[in-house]
Amino acid sequence: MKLIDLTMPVWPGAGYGEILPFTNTPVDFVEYMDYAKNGMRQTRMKLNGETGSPLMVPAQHAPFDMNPIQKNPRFHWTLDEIPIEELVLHDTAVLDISAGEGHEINADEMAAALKAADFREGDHVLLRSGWGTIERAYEMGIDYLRKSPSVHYEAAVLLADKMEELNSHIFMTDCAFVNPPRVQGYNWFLGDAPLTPLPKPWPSAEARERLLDMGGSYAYAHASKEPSSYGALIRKAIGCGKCLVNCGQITERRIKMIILPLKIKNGGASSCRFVAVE
Amino acid sequence: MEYKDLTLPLDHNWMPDEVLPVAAHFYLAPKYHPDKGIILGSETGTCLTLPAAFADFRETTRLHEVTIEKLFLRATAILDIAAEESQEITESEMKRAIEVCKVARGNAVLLRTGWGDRGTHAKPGSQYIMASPHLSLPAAELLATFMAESESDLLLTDLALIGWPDKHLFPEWNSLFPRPGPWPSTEAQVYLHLYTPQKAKADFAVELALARSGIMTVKRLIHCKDLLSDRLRVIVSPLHIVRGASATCRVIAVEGAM
Repeated sequence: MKLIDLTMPVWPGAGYGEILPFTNTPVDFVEYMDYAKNGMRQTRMKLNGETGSPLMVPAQHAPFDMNPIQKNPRFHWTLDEIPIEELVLHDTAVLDISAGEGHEINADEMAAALKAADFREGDHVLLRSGWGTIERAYEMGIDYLRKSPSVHYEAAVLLADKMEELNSHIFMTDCAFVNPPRVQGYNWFLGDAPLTPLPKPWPSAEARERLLDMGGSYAYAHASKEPSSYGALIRKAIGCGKCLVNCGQITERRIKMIILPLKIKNGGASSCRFVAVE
Repeated sequence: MEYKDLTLPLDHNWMPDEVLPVAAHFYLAPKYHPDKGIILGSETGTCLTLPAAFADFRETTRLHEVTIEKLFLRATAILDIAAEESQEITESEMKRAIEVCKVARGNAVLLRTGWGDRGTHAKPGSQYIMASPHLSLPAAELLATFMAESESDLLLTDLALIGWPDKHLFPEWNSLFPRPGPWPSTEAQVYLHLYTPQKAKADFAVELALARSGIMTVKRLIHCKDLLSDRLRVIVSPLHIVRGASATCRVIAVEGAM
């Protein structure tokens, strides 16, 4: 048995906490007990639902907003309601689409990968692009996300339909974003009118203004005119995981996955551990 | 195979472990609040504590360095000591339990007292922490020796507190009435400002005895009562904190042949 840790680490200042206005806010630690003063260490951590490698359910803003981010999702479970059999040692198909900096995986590539994969009834699916490594995330900062490969909407729809057909429940990827960065960060860090220098995320003045521009709600926080690839997938899934790392260490086409988010009562998203078992 | 979740839920309405100033308040700020997100302490709920949490062992392994095999699907033996409310587990009780515990070399050890099955973690008030059974120092030292001989470096338990910080923390904090909130209440900040390493060494002698033997500890498990020792494996899944010394975690028992 070989265990492979696919989890993005958590550290203050990590790029994933600095690049978007709302959905992922900065990681911040306060050492309220420290070695010199107290002889021991205790840390207060400010995280977010999308810190590190997150797992997100359709009602991502739960418990305060139980509305799913896409209408009519296939599943309605919150984090603590996901059956444990879905999270522990669940059969998973690896879907290989090698994608480099800025590449948007298209429908043809997705179709070819689905044809080549050993994707069976009930499997979870792990889309491996090769982008996710800890070293790259440490070195690139926010560019790790800005330049991430991603999934074009039509490719996402194709995969989502296949997942429904095969009764597949969880989607994971080592892309830092599922949506193309130009869609996800539209008129924030990319798009027709990106903000320079890049503002801090919520609760910055700029993030609050963006909220105003969006009509006062980020329940459906999608500023781009293009449809959401992530939205296509989360509608058909119990949950989606992204920003995984080290998937290149997986040698088999089929693995078992351990997927363990924090057990937040009525929670919608949290930092998660992803471990592959071969 | 059968899976059992042994994790205390993280409830934004109320957490049973926020009794002492060394705990941080867990909350999920509403989405339009400036603190939007997840705020928690490194030992909120069910948590993994490394020896590096203590100054004497700060040069030792940190969370991101713990090899995955030490935490995921690790074979585990159960050490049974049924304990009553507020009971201090003695050296002789530990000795009797060790004598009948079948632990293979390198196994993790799960100390099961029954405290996590009584439902106190789901009731309001401070009973879950303040009435937890706990280890005496001689019992902890005996357990540390036993685990070292078994080449075991992972101890899991359903105790809310492993030791009993009654030299300074309990008498001083409990003298405040009504009891103040955990960190970052003003009272907790003032209290910790005056809480010296010498006080911590006295209060956390049991935890230090385990840390001295290189033992990682997981506390506040629930629902352990039906676990069978035969072919038991545990998954301890902490937040993957760079250079962290302790973290909230999810713990799953895997029973049966893999």
